Amino acid sequence: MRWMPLAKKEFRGVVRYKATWLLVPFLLLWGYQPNYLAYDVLGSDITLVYLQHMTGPILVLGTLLLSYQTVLKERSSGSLKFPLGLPLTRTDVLLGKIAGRTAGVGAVVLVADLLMAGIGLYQYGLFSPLGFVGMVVLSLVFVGVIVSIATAISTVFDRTITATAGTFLLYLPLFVLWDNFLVAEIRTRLLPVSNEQGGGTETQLSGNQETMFYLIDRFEPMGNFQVVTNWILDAGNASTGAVSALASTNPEQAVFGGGDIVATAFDSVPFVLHEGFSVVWLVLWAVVPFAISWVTFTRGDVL
Amino acid sequence: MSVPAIDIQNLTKRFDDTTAVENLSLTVEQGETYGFLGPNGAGKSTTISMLFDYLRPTEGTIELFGNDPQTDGVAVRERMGHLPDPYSLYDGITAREHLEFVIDTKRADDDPAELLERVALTDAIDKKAGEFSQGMQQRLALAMALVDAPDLLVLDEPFSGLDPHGVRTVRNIVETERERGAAVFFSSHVLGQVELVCDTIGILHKGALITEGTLQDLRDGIDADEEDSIEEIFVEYTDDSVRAVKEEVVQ
Repeated sequence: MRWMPLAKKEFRGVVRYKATWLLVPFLLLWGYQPNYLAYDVLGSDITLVYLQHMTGPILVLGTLLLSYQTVLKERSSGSLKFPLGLPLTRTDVLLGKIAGRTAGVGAVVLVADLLMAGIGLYQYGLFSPLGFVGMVVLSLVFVGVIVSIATAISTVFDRTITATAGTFLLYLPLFVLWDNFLVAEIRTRLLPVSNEQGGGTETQLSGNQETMFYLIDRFEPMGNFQVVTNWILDAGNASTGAVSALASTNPEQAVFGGGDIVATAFDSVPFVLHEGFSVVWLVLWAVVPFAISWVTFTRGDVL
Repeated sequence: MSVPAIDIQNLTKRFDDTTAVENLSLTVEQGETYGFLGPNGAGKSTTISMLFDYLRPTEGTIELFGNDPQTDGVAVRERMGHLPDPYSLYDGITAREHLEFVIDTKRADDDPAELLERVALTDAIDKKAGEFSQGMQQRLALAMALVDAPDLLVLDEPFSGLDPHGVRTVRNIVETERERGAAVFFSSHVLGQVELVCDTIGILHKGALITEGTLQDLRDGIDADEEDSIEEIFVEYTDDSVRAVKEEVVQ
């Protein structure tokens, strides 16, 4: 692994950049959302729900902003000549950059997770250690996914302004509007029964159409992250946050309506909607952008 | 006979409608110091970029120690050191960390302090590069190029931003590297220094190599006097108006 020294250098660059650490208070503020239902159902494991919240839009935006110029900026400044002038392949350079950035942002997430764990421990008592490890590992995987996406932006665009525009054009539809607008709109149009009756999952769609709806619902990385972390929390197979998923399975305790739980819509959950499949989706969200970066970066001129 | 350090044959590089390098052929033997001169925009940096596979040739071939820098890049660059131009160091990490990055990547065992001593930058070993003056940056970048005693040292404008002490340091390093047996290929505008250290000089103009040889060969090529400086010879070769008049006279 010739790219390890590059990853180490990249890691140092990220963790020594003061703005990186601004993420910690924002993540804590965003993550800490006490909820009666979650506490009633999960007890002290509500701390893990806070960890799930932290891996949300703020982390995505922060990671994108810290990484979307990783190749582009070095290409225009000439810094990229140093790693490319060393005995590294172009693939090594990409791997080193992605690994180092993931470790750098991951260190910030780890500190935030530990601080949140301390708060939860103090406030609610001991939570599941295994669940905590699972949440932390998945958060780091998620950071890797976002860094991979940002690196793809950084290699595809050759001007800062277009890369910035590309970042926001990706961020808004995929991480903000997907659930709140697109999926909500499909739900309104295609699942009229469920909406009129207030949040249930009865539908007039055929099985295949419904499978497709749930696949669209959990297409983006955040949805898959939530499916897998809900699995850890045993909150239900849903692409919404754990609190919303719990509200669906515990409607009598919920203050607000919940998100769609797959198990309530099917007699037998299709294979592609199994939680394990969301792990595959998450991995694909890292691999496909990497492949785009690789194709762009390894062919033709690189400066 | 050993393979050349650099063997470029019929190299052409085009960017859309612009031809940056045209049908360039040159050879640098192992142990040779080659001064690659040319006015701004002549194609020197483009050529050097193709040596390191930053850019890929439109036509022609490059071989470094008999290897193709595109397909055998790792093996080739293990034997090379590069001072690029332009470049930017990594602001957030120290001089020592810059060197450790190169040393670790090359799997070498150099001592960062010794490398910095060679470029007279020992005092700044634990300072971040973001605090460096232009001259200090140039010294650090040169130290990075010297890691693992490369067989081919490629220096793009090595005197850029240096004070007279720095210029002398670079010249001494080039001489030391040549004595060690390394090939040195460098481009520069500081013609007086080129004259002092180079075995061979090539002048690139508008992407084409217009002359090549020892300084005496270059003088002979334009019937220059012995006392003519390399600057005068360079201008003679690259000044389009002078060239036009000469061509007219010949006709």
